[in-house]
Amino acid sequence: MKAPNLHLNLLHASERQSSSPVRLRVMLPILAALACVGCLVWWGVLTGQLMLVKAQVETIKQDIAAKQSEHGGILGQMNTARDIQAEVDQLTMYANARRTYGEFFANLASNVPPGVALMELEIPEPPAQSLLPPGAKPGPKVKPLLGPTNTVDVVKLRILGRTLKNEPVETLMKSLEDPSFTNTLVIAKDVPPDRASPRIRSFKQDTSPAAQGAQLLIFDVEYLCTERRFEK
Amino acid sequence: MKLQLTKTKTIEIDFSRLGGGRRTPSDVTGVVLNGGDARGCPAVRLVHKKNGWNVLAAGFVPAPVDPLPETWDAANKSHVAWSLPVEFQAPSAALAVLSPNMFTRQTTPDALTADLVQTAPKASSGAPPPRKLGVRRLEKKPAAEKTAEGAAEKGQELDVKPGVPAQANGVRFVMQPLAENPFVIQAGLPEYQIQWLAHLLPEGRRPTACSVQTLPSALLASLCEQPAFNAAGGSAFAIFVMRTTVYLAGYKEGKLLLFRSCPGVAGWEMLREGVKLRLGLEDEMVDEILDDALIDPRSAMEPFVRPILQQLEISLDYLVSRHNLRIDKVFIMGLPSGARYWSQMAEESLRMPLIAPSVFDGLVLSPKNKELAELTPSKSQAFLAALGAARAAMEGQA
Repeated sequence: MKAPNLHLNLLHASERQSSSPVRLRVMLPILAALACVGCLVWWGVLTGQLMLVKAQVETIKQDIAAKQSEHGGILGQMNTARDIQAEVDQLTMYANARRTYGEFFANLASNVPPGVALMELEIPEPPAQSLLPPGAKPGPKVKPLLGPTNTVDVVKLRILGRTLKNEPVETLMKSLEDPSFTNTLVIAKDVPPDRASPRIRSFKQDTSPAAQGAQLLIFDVEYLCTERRFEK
Repeated sequence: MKLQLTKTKTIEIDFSRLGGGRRTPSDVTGVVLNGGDARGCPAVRLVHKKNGWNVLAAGFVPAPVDPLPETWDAANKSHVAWSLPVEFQAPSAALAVLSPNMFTRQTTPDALTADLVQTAPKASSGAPPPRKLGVRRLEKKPAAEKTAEGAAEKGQELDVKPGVPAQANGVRFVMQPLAENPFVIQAGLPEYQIQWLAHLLPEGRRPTACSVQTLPSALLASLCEQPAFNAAGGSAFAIFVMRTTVYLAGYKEGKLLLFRSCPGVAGWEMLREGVKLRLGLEDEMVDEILDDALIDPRSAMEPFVRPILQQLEISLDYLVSRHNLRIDKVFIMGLPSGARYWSQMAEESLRMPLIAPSVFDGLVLSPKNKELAELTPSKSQAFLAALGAARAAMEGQA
């Protein structure tokens, strides 16, 4: 049997002292001071890092401000270059779309048979092209495009002349099928009549006053020329 | 800390239970102060381990340079720090004090109140003097002490919690209920002596005081680990024969039931003196004669022992009549010599032998300390109060 203990202790709990060599009343201020110093060092490190970052930000801001004007100039130059390049491209497209007929006419003059008088050679004007940007509506503020891009124009050649009979005209049309002309003219016979080239628009009696007394005929033949492409 | 939520509802928070409270020490040195032993202050270092209670050291340590103060002025004077030898440097020390101003008594709360009211006019003489420069400041009175003092002055019943020190009329006291209601055991010392004792062992050095007890109250815990006491189921009687006084204590199932000091009897010092004069012995021979069977010293002891045995008989009769408690084991503790003759005289008059065990029975003695093994049961009695003080201070380790 374990007897219960009887302890008549006259000492208050608050009067008991620590036997530890390092007393709590000494340790607490030291620990508190160390904690304060630690906090100060930590705060100092943070402040230093903040100041460093702020200085870097200021430097970067000044650098950006210094380069802002240069950047604007570069952007302007890039815009100018882009505009110029667009113009050059457009001019290149125009140049590529250009069709020359000098050689054709020189060859034609030497191949016109006797009995045929050419009255008119006409390349009809193509319909006006829309130079509005895609999706834009016409208005005063809308800047038109420099020219058509990636479009294809159908070019036709109309030959009008007089003759006494039909053989010289046939000879002329035969001679125009020569390879020296086919780089300019398109010969397409086995196609529907509206897309055929050449296509005889008319061949009739000349009723003009200048032709009175002579049995003259007027012919009107239309040829398709090679397409005019606006592309680089 | 008390928090008043409403007019009628109050909650109390005990911060000491939230991990901030002090733990019960498991390594304590018990020391007897002012015991009057020329060899020094008896000290015992007691440690509670898994294998039980271990006595690491027992011996006499040099007494403090300054004597126990008798006045506030003496207590306020700076004193020389007291340090114990290495083997007694446990973390905590339990001081058992023998003071002419102390008291340890069995009483009732009503008697205690009446006693304090009677002594109230003397309060001014026990008050601390004004503080002087260069004098260590003594601590202020806790609120509980003021309450007790005020209640005593008004003649009201004291509201003193068991085990919690209170103060009245310059005396600090503590009480614990006994097994028999409404009796309590009360012990007290002058406030200035307790504050002096609290600072006697300097802070920051081993040991520091964790307990201050009166010497009689320290004796009461010394029986706790006795195998014979535990074998009797804790129902036994004990005669504590000290240097100048004799105390009687009755236990019922390990709980203290009765405590009193024998009136009109002297302690073993007077008995030795009487034997010495009656038999014409030298001082060094007295203990040998009392422990020897060659010469029967009972005739010389009779005048001293007989009144104590009569008091023992009265006490045993009281336990039988009042509590129907028949005691068949009576311990005699504290005697440095002659226990055998005490037992023979008790057997003759009461038909009841006295048991005089070694103080360290039931405890594990440290094999490293060879002096412990040399302690005879008679010699070990010098450490009775020191062991009791240490055992009592380790109250949570039972």
